[in-house]
Amino acid sequence: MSAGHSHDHGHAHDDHAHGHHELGFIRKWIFSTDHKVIGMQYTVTALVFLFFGFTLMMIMRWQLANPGHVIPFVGSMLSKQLYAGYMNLATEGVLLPEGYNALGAMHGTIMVFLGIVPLAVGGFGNFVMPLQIGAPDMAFPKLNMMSYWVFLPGGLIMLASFFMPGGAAQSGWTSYAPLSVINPGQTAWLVGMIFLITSSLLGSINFIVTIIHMRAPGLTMFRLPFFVWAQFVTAFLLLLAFPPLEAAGVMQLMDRLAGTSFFMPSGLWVSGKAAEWVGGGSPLLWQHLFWFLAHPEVYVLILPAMGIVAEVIANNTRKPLWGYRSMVYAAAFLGFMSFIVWAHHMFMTGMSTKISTFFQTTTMIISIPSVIILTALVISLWGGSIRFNTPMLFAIAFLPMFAIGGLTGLPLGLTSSDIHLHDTYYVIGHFHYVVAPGTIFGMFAGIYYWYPKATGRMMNETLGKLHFWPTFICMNCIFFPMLIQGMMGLSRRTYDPNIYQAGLASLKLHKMISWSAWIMAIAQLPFIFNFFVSMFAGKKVTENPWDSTTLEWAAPSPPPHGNFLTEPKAHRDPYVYSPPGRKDDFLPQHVVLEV
Amino acid sequence: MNNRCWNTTSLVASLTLALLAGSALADGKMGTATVKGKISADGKPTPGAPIAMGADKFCLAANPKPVSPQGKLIFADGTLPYAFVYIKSADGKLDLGSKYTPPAEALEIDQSGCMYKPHVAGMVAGQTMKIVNTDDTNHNIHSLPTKNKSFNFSQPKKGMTKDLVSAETFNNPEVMVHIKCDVHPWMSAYIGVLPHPFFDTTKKGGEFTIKNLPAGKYKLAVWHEEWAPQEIDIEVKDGETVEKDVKLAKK
Amino acid sequence: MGVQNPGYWLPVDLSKYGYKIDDLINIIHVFMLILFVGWGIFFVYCLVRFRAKPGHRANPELIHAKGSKYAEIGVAIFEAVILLGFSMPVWAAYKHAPPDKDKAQHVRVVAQQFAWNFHYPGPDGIFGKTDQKYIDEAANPVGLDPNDPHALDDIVDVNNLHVIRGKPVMLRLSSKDVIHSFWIPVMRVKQDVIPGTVFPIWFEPAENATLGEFDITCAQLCGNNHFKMRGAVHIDTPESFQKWLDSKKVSTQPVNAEEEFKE
Repeated sequence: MSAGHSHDHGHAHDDHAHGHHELGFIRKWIFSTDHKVIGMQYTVTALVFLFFGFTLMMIMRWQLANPGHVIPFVGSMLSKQLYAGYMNLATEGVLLPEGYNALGAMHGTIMVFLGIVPLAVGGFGNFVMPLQIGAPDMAFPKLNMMSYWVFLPGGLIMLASFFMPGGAAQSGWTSYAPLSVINPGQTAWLVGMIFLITSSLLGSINFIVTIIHMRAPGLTMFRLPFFVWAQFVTAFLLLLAFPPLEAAGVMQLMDRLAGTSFFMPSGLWVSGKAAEWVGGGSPLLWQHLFWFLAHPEVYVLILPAMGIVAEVIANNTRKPLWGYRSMVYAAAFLGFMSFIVWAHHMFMTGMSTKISTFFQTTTMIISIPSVIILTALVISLWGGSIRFNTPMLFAIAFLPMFAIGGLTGLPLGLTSSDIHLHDTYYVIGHFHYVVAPGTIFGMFAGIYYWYPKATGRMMNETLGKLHFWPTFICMNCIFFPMLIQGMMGLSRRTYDPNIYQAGLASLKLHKMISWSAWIMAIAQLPFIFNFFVSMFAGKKVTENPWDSTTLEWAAPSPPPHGNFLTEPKAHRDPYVYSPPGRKDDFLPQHVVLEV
Repeated sequence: MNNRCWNTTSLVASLTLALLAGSALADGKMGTATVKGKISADGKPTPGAPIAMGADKFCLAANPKPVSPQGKLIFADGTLPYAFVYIKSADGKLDLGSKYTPPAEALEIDQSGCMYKPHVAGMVAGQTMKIVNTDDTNHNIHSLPTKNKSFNFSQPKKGMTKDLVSAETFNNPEVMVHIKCDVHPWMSAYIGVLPHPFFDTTKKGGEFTIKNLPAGKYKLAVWHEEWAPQEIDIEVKDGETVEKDVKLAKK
Repeated sequence: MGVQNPGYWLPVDLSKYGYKIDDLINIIHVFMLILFVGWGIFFVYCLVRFRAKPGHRANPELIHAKGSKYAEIGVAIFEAVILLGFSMPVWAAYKHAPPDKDKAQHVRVVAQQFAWNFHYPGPDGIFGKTDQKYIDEAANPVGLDPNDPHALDDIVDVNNLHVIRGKPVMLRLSSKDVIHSFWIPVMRVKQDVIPGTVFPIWFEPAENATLGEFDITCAQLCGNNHFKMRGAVHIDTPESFQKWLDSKKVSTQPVNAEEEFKE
């Protein structure tokens, strides 16, 4: 960073601080350009969506545990016909197969595109990243605001689709053509997706520019906290992987509305008659375009969580991260490799030996950087003085959960074992271990960790532990049995498992999973209570309640518009904990040592 | 095609129709003439394999004997069941120039023994429908109209009933609307949607009767799944009964 | 119903070569277990030993963890072995070493929402021509051409696939409408069926395979009633297969309507 640059920063900072006093409520909290407000908007919206997506799954869990029984509490509500032609999810209180498919497709879509990505990138990335690099705001504050205001309508369109004629999307979150082209409900989904993708693209550009251009003086790339690195790689993934899906989404929308046939082959015979309006397209083209996004997307979900976990572990072991540089290289390599493994989702599409050899090899290779990051985080525990506060509990629970998620990816990544396991509950167990107790634990760790920075108050520790332990136990009771069910041969997306031998034999597991899911819902109540009540009743904190070292803790809690009272400078590596010869067991990046 | 579209217009259309239905339409012109007769086939139907009821264990148990597709059925004397006989105007239009209110009772379609009952039926455009599943297996009823909105839903449990209001059924005249079950592909029903109530479906002996026809010149139209459609000119007078037997040629 | 598989692991394997897939799955899971347990012991040990204690301070020295390097290299080597030694050869055999065409049973499979149509060539061993224009969902679901002499003896059954144990089965999969996925868990065979393409696959019921009926599952979401797209594979002896074949030969059915309309 040149000196001239930092001078510019100073100006930007002054302008911000100056403008701050004139902002009314709407400009300050609704159409805000402040990265912290936008981050909080994203966080709260994403948490609401996450809870909603989880609710959908709880309804599906009823059908799986008690096939064909009237759904308690909501059954009659879902059976109510709102208007003529409305697609009911249930009839006479019993979930319908099409209702099950709609809930399944929307659960996946909401959790991934409306929950975790906005929370991990839009929420944490927006709020924490500029603070951690000592910047007064994002490089393009208005673009940042626009990103949120494109995201929100996308999400609302998705929700509204439940009430539109034809109902919500019923073709899975993967929206495979030709089904997605002939099924009702997909139009709203595609329109919503186009909004969400656009929002992510706007955000990713902003992140990259901010990280490259707006670091505080002295904050070299290898002095960046690992979280910033994770966001940096993530932003590249979003930037490079989303455009193909945006194009594919527009093409599929045209297949539905404009009579094109990008993804529709010739000679289709749909519902008892020839579909003469299609021909010449390729269903596989969609799958390639979709997975070209959706595999990097997996790393979009996991990298920010790894970043948060690294921050929390360094802070609570009170020692520097072990293998910081190798973690950074591993994350970058992970990002690169994630672009050339996508077709391992398509091993059963009749792939030839050559192409499958390539993709199963790259898939095995991509496991190595994940192993490196995980190993580094575990070895970081060695020699520490580990504080078991709530953020740390979630962060260390992330490690074994992600390990199970990663390991179970191996048999799926090998073509031959994938013959049996493809599209079974094993797949569901695998990616949920990565995303639910994996990513979401990372997100919880982040919320508990940075909450005092955002609000100036702590969250309650007792409630936090009351949230962690049942959630941790339930998560495993939910997803581990799924691995077994998949091994037994139960196909995913099965509305009534009882008509299959594997389903009948594993019904007990389904019941256990469902009960765990409902108990886990109750276990979220302490969190929700804690989250809202602590805003007013939490213990007040100064700028650095966790005795942390990175730059965000140099700003007041909560940081004002413009973030820092004096422009921070980075004097050292990000995790200087327990330095010898000092009374404090931490030495923040911005502190100037008297010589 | 219809279900592919994001059909907001259909919502508007259904609301408008609901309003129209409320504003008590004047009943159409009725008369006292009767047309009756027999429909028979000119030849033998091509034999076909029995329905593969074994596709679903429940269906197999419900039908211990082999079942032929209903369209292939014929009586020993050559008469045909499941022919749809209806009236057209003298110049071949479905519309007889007078508006008829659909009857209050719903057209009931029962999914029973993995077959639709009835297999062929008529209804007045805009009549309500009632879809019942009396089978202990999952059915998925899917209508495939060309001039109307389609419906497509499952009834996974025995005893499930769904009432379709006027706006959800067929509001435009269309002969015939094909209805099929997506789970049991052999299950099909044909509904003749007419703007008037002058139609009948042949049963035993290929017999049909159309009553209360106003005096005038018409075309008597016959539709059958397997046999070629036919139209013949008729003229009826008040209080009289006209007898017309029709022989259908091979398609 | 065939034998219920009560175990909470892989379903019973009734195919001749499925054990290769099972072996791979078993080996890799043992490896995963060893890795996870070993790693887990270290992890828990660290958590207990290095918990915060009053008066204790973390040691900021970064250890030279050679073990981790060895572990990472070990993982890489194991993956290479499993890839080159197991997964690739099995896949290559599955793709490129089909059984002798003349000794196999041939069946065309036409998937549709939501049923599997199985088309057998009949005694002449030649599949009759098919064309969309002849499709009649009730009487002729695969669209056999009534004018083709080879089609006359063909047999079409819905959701029921009959195979003889010890005899290889070669299937040609196609789909009328959307993407389906043909899966017989007990045969360890799975293949997506994408409309517009024909997929040849094969499997071989073991010579001592349990007789009976086993699930065929559609493994790819294909619409409203995807879950109902259950088929059954019947593993027969040559005799019971012939018996079933004979029962299918009554192709000219009574078309007399009296039965249906008797009160």
